[in-house]
Amino acid sequence: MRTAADWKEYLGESLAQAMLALKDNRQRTLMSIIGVAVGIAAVMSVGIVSQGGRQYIFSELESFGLKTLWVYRDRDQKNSLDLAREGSGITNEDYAALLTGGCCSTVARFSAVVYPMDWQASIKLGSLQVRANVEGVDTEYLNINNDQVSQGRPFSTEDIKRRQAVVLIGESVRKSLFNNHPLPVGKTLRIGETQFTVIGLLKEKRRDFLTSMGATQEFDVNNRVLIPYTLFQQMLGIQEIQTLQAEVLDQKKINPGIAEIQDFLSKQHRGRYKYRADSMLEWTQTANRIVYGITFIGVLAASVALFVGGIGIMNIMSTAVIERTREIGIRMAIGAKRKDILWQFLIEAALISLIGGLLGLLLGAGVLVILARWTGFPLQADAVLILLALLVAVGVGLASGFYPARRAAGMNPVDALRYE
Amino acid sequence: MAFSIPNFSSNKSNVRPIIQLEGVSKSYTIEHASIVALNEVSLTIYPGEFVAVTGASGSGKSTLMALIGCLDRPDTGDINLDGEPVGHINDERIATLRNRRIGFIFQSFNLIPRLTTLQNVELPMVYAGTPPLKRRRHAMIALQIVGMQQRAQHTPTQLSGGQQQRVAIARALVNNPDIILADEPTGSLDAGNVDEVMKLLSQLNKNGKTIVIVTHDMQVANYAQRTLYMRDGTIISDIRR
Ligand SMILES: Nc1ncnc2c1ncn2[C@@H]1O[C@H](COP(=O)(O)OP(=O)(O)OP(=O)(O)O)[C@@H](O)[C@H]1O
Ligand SMILES: [Mg+2]
Repeated sequence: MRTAADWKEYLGESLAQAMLALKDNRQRTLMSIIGVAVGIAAVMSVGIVSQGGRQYIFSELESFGLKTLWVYRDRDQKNSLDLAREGSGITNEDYAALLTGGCCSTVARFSAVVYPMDWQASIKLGSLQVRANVEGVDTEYLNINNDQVSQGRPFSTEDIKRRQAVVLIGESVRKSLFNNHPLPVGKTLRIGETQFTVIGLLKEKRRDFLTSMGATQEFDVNNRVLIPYTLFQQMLGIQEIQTLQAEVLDQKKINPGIAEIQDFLSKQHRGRYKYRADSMLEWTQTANRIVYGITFIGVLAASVALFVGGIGIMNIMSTAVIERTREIGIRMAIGAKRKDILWQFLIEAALISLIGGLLGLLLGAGVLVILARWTGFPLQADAVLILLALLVAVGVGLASGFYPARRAAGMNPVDALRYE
Repeated sequence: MAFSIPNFSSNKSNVRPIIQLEGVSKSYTIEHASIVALNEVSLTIYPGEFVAVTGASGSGKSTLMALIGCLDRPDTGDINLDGEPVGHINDERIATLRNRRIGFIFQSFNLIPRLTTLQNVELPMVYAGTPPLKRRRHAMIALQIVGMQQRAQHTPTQLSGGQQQRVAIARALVNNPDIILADEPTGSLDAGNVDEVMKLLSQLNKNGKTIVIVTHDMQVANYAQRTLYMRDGTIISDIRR
């Protein structure tokens, strides 16, 4: 049994040995250390990117609602007769029937979404004027979209039923119209010819990932205002709903939900219209693919680098074992057991690898700073990951040191002592 | 033949031999040619004896020492150390025997160059699992015995040959073994140092250690009470004085 002090001395001596090996085979040692360092940096980056990136991307997707789907009329049909047909294919009667439970066991809630042809409208406050997206929505809209009201209040059922001229505004609109005015709630602004009272402010949303994926084009999610869909229909002079938004009970029910709603609407209109649907499913899958892609490339790079580093260490240790054959003989002659010799070289290999690992952590930290800037991901290393990376480094050292160490331990003392 | 050894000659049968070889053979194969290094050697050494082994180069002296010291295994024959057969026991036990029962001294000193004098002397105790403080104390005592305590922090390259050999003797002593095996310990030393090293070994022998020493030097052999002559892997004469 070795005491703690023994291990300290053992490690101390092995560290000194590792340093000597480092000096003796400078180039090879450097290559191995760099190999391990690059590998560990890759391991760390992969861990952090796949962890931090996933969190980041999914928190963004979550801001849409991962259980959200949109159903609207499919206008891209080959049949020109179909195309000539008027209307959105979703009437107020359809919507009322849906809300009263006419269909869809998989759907938790619905919201009508009404918007003008080009989505946008002018919004005026005194002499100020901005163009922003205007959506006419129902009470459940905020819930479905994970929208939060940071000031004021959301729509009430009364607002919708009585077509109240009330508006919720997004952060970008607030900034352009109210500048630094802290409390826009209660102020009046004009959309078209109608005067609206601001009842609340929508909490800012982030769309960096989806924008970078080309999902949202130039659409600024914060440059929008919401008004009751009933009022908007009146303003536009229509009786229909452009898009039906729904939230299913859980993520797995998205496709069944889409099918149920489409079926329902088709039946309502006796097949006069075809419908399309969008959901976040595609984006969750894309996000997953991206995260897995990064992980895969990273793991591959890490493996190659660690392999190169490991081979290098094996090489150095083999040389060291041969150079120190006589020393091994001496140690055996004075009573070293085979396992003592084995451990001596294993610890040396692990220490060289660990030096690489520590360098790798520094390198990895540098890579992460760059990656964080580049991707916008808030990447941070945690203690578990750092520990894991160092453990991998030690593991590589032990694995690549094993063969030379075993050869050292297997030497015949008499032959080792005769070695010149 | 001498009959004046007071301890053992009269009542050998009552004392257990500390080293005993029975028909021990060892051959080496180089490039398909087999060289018989030891040929059916039998030898009995009693506790406290001081034995010199001489003979021409290649006669098998070092091979004999390696087998006694458990650095190698015999092809055939039995080796007993203090009654324990050691020819075919496991590596771990052999390491322990080398560590506790035997101290080696070599012609080329065989100190580990990057360790200090003190660390070199401590090494057998490291492998014995001796606690560090006790290790330091015993190493310093051993260095004192060989008169090298002033050089505890020097490395081997900073010492003369004679000084290195004294450190090696301290290392051989430090686990208090009963057998000291020295293969041409004075072969690399000048006359003054030879004397000093041999006086040290004699002193150790007087204190009860069994010593076997290989040498070409008759003057060195004269320190021993018993001299073996080897030729072609056999002991051709065994003279007690
Ligand atoms: N490991 C080995 N491999 C091959 N041959 C060996 C080995 N060890 C010893 N021999 C051979 O065995 C014979 C005896 O060698 P040994 O070293 O015992 O001789 P020695 O008496 O110690 O000689 P010297 O006085 O030169 O040291 C020699 O012929 C030597 O070449
Ligand atoms: Mg020899």
